[in-house]
Amino acid sequence: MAKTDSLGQFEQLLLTAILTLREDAYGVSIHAKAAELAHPKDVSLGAVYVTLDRLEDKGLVSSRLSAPTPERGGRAKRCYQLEALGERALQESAATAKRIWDVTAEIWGKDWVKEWVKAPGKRWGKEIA
Amino acid sequence: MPPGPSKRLETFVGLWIPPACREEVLGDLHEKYTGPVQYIALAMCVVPFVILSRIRRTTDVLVLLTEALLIYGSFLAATWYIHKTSLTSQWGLQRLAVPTVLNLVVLILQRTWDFRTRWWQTMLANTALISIGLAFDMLGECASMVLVAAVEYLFSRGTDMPQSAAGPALWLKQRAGPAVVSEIAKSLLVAAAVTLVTFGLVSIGSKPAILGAFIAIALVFWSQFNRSGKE
Repeated sequence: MAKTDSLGQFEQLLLTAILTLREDAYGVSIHAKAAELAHPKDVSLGAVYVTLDRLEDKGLVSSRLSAPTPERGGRAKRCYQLEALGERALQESAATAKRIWDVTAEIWGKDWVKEWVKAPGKRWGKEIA
Repeated sequence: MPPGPSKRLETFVGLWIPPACREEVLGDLHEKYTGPVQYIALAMCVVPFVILSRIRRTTDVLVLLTEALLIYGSFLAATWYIHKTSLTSQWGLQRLAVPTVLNLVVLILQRTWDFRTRWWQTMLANTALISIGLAFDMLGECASMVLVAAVEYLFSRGTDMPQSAAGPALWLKQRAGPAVVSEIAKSLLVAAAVTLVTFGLVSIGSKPAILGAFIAIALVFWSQFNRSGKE
């Protein structure tokens, strides 16, 4: 089996967004989903375009132009879909994330994520500089 | 009908976006439109990234480096041939880097905006190159144009462009084909003819103004030639 390139965190986010959105994965929807997944961090639309181009060059996703729609001023969407290589790269990343989760949950307990989501930057009363 | 930006504003923003991704980026900006100020602010945040990404996709670093060396070499050889003493003066060799960098910038922009699709864009890019030649060294500019055209012909962007995984992406497959090569072959032919005549004019001691006029006429013929080929 060919070895896939390891993915950056933002690439993982976009691949997950494309996986979730399925047929409706295009610039604006991918940006919205990625922003939701990256919360509380901000995601810029420009960075989404750059990363989508890079993922396409790596052969992890492919794209096609859809039919023009009136809400876009009669302009087409560029729809993205995961390629087999992209699915495998995302699976590898998810498996690694799962192993990290198992280790952190063992040490910090399973509820640390809930606390972190409520107050990012705080952890067990300690301020992160 | 949902609100959208004015046609004029959209056209202005569209000018800055490379044509290969203009359709979808303008559509996305239209969809996120809430007001003209927000539209301009969003466009200002998005467009630089889109341009940089397009430059990355259309520029092969090795080919660009080869072209940089050839352009610098052309100007060096031309200066050696005409004003040998200027090479030994202060900043003599560094001065040659200026037209090299300007040529490279024009080449990068030419590829990013795909100037070959419209005759006036081709003419604009060629005028920029000729202006650089007139400002620095016409002989060096002509020689560099021939060499760059030869590099483009030999290493044209096609399905062989190296990628990190899984062969060519869709956009590369679409770009490959004889149309690109024939345009470059035409450019090569014209540039070679221009260089030969320029060498001839220089060798009989013509003034820079005559050389400039000849280049300008050649440029007009070239653009008309391109135009008639497309219509």
